[in-house]
Amino acid sequence: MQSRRAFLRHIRHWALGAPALLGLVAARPRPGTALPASNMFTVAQLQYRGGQWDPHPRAVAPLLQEVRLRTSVETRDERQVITLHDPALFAHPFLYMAGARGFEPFSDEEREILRRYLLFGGLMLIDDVRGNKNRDFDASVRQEITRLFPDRSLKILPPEHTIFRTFYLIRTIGGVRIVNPYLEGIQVEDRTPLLYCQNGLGAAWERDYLGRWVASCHPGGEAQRLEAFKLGVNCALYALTVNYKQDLIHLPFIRKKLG
Amino acid sequence: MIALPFYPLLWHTASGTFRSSLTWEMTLSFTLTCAVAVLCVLLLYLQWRDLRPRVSLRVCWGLCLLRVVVYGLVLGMLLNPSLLIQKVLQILPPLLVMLDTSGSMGLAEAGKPSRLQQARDYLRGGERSALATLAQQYQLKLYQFDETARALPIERLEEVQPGGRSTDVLSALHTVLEEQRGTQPMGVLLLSDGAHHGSDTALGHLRQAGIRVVTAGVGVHSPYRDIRIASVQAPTLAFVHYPTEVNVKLQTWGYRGEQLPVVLTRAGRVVATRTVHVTTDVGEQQVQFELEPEEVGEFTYTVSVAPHLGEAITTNNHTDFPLSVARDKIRVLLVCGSPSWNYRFLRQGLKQDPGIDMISFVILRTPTDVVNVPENQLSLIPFPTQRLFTQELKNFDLIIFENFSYQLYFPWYYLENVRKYVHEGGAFAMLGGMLSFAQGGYTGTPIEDILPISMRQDRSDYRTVTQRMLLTDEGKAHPITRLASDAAENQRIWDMLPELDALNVVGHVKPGATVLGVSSSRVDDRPGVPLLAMQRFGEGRTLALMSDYIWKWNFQMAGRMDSNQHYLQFIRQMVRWLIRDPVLKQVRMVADASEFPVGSEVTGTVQVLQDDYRPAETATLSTKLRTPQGAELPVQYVATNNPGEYRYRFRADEEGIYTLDVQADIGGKTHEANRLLLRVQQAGDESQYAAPNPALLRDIAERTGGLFFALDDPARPGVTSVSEFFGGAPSYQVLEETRLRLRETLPIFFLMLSVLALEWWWRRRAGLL
Repeated sequence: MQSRRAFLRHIRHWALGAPALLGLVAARPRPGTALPASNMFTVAQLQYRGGQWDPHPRAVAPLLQEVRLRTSVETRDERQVITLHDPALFAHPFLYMAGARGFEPFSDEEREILRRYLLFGGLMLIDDVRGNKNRDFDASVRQEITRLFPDRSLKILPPEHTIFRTFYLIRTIGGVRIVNPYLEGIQVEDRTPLLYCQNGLGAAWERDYLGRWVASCHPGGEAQRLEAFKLGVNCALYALTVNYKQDLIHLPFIRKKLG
Repeated sequence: MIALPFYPLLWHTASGTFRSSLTWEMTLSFTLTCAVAVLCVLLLYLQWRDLRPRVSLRVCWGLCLLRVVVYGLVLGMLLNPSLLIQKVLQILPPLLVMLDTSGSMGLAEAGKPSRLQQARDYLRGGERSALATLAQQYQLKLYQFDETARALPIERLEEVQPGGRSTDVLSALHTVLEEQRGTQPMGVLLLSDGAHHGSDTALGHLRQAGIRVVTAGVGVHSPYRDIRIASVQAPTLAFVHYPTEVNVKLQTWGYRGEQLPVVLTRAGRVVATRTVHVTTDVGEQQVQFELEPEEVGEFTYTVSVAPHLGEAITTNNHTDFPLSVARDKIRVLLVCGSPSWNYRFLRQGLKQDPGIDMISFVILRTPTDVVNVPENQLSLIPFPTQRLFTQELKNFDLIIFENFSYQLYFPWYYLENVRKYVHEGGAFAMLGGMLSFAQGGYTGTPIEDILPISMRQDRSDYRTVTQRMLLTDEGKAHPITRLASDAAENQRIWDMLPELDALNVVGHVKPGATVLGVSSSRVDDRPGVPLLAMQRFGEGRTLALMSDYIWKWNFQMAGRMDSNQHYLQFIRQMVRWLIRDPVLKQVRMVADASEFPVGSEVTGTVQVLQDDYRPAETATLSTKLRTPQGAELPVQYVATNNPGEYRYRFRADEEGIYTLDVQADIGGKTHEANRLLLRVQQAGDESQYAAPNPALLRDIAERTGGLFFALDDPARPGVTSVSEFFGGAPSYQVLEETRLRLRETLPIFFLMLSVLALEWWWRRRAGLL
């Protein structure tokens, strides 16, 4: 028996056409007992001071839906807005930080909390929707990352990085526009707890209340949007499985598929 | 006055030994005496010149000769000869004789007496035996030696038997030389086969002693045949399924041209064989084995060569060595039904443990999930259920189902394989979630049989309940849940751990299972619903953890600026208990030493713990002790004052490896200790190595300026030559002495007067006076 919310969601998708119908047909029957919210995957979006922390308020929900639709992961419907001082921060090991403008630097305490969050198993995806290199949001992010990890620097993730293989085999980075054809990250031992994309992933994910895409993707159009969703799904799976796809048993299959 | 000694004479009488010597105590100085002698010669010349024209040649010669006698007597008196007669005690110089009486001297080569008897025959045999000949010139001191040297009365020479367990030629020689340093011996006659088992350090110091050593090699030219396993180099610890090298050094004497099979066995079963081709009369060969242990435990391996015809010693044809085989890494199969935070942090906990080798399969997509790209754009791989659950199970030490329902992936009867795997010694754990326990469809399956809890009949067993895990009494001491050795600290840690937000409600706890933790909340109106339980199933162990929220013990603890180590420790301890890590056994044995000499008492301690790992107040021990020959021996146990602790002892009369297995009945359940392998060795090396070593004897002789010969060499030097080689002269202790000054004796005086008178008469006769 579906919940009321799920039923309404499916009606909405049906109203938009075939993909939703397919989703309805193929949707996995929900178990009778609801999963506690804290064990469902959700994206915690960081609210910070200054700048514009929420340029695309309805970006995360479509991503969560995509994760739920394509993978075996149970997700919540909506994001969780959180600050670095929120006691519930460590109940959400996946943190999404979006922005379009420069922001106030984190305090020392905030920085310490965030560092602990990332070092003890959390994953943070920073999404620059503005796309201006070294200005505004980008400049603030890079400055903050330097303070967060003074002994490490943002590095371009190589094509064979696990993030590009956790679910989809990704060869190109999507987004609302291709500012960088790559993803950057901070490496800590065998993990990359901090990912940075300047292509406006959230902008590509966002739908309005009627379910229409808010922004069009240039120059690649819907294919580019699909890549943005694929990267989002991979980030979610990376948060949940870390280097699972680096286990030796996967490598021959992945190599074969990559040709 | 100058005394000039003359040649002494020596004679023996019934009353003792006397020595006489002539000394010259010159009255005048040497110069003056020479001047007088010159004067006498001059006077003699003048006389001759004076007499020659006046008398005949005969008379001249006669008178001059008489004058020579007079002058000689005068000079003699000036020289003042004294006859010294001394009654002396003759002291012969000491000579040391050292006889090797170690075990190897008892060997007899074909058709010959034993080495010791050969040495004895040389020393005592025949009229011109060495001892008899040397005793005439030396004060003999006889020593016997093996690993130490000690004096041997000569009269007991025939009684001494070979028996020393090892030989330390150099140390014995050093000891004897040090002991006799004050007596200045002329040398050492050392009879030995040279089979030396001690250190060579003393070899470099022999020259400093300044005493010559004549070494007589025994058995040197006799054909010596032996095959010896000289050494086995093997690690004490090996890992299952990992190749391990065992290097064997083989020594051979006298089997040139033969092919020798060297066999490696374990418990009588041949593990490997190598064949060695012997190419020299005396030599060493290296043999290498590579073995790949197939099971964990303590094992005794044996390297051996079958005894061959004519071998001097066969006890050195085999050597045992113990090998502990451990798992190198714990192999864990983790199957997860859906990516989740619980999987994420469990994976981190297992991956971080360097002792764990993990393979995990996570269902990233179910058959009902919608695919929006071609398959080749997905990184998904097939889930090899058939291979994993029919062939590969035995290769894992632990299988974990984490929020995984089998129903979509493989048939029911694969679970029977899991049941069998656990029964035969494997380990299994089920962690909670919406796809676990009854909700995962495991009710009535072999998985329910092996788990410590039964499942609910209806499938909806997953409850959203905020709770903490409370430890039961058993949980407070159990190795899985004991996160601190101090009970209060352990409780404090568990009180601090974050709450869990859901659990799988189960049926009942099975008899024989142990509940370690319960929910702090009432669930379905029941208090104390189990959260963590475990049990033994057959030879294996299983665990049920009825929650998928323990990841919070990691990440949320970190968020509180506290440690996530308690979570990691819990995972580590859980895994190790499940795989029956030897460290966590409830019956533990240690020995008081790593080796024991043959004939000694072997002792050690057994510790017995209850299921909650507290010392067992009451337990019944049963043991099985096997000797190296496979016989069973009784073992005595005595409880100590410490609860759960016992001391064991038994007498080990055989050389080899004893196997001790202990079982303890604790509360009706039988627990085994790790098998203990106890090595008992014959002290000493005579049973291992008895080849003559003339090279050492030669070396000793060269370094000390001595001489080496082989007793069985027909051209060996005779005893007299040996004696001459040593040299030396007796010394004398003067007991009494009498000095007779000859010039003060009447005969000399009368002689002089007589000569003078004769000359006067002859001069008158010749008309010179």
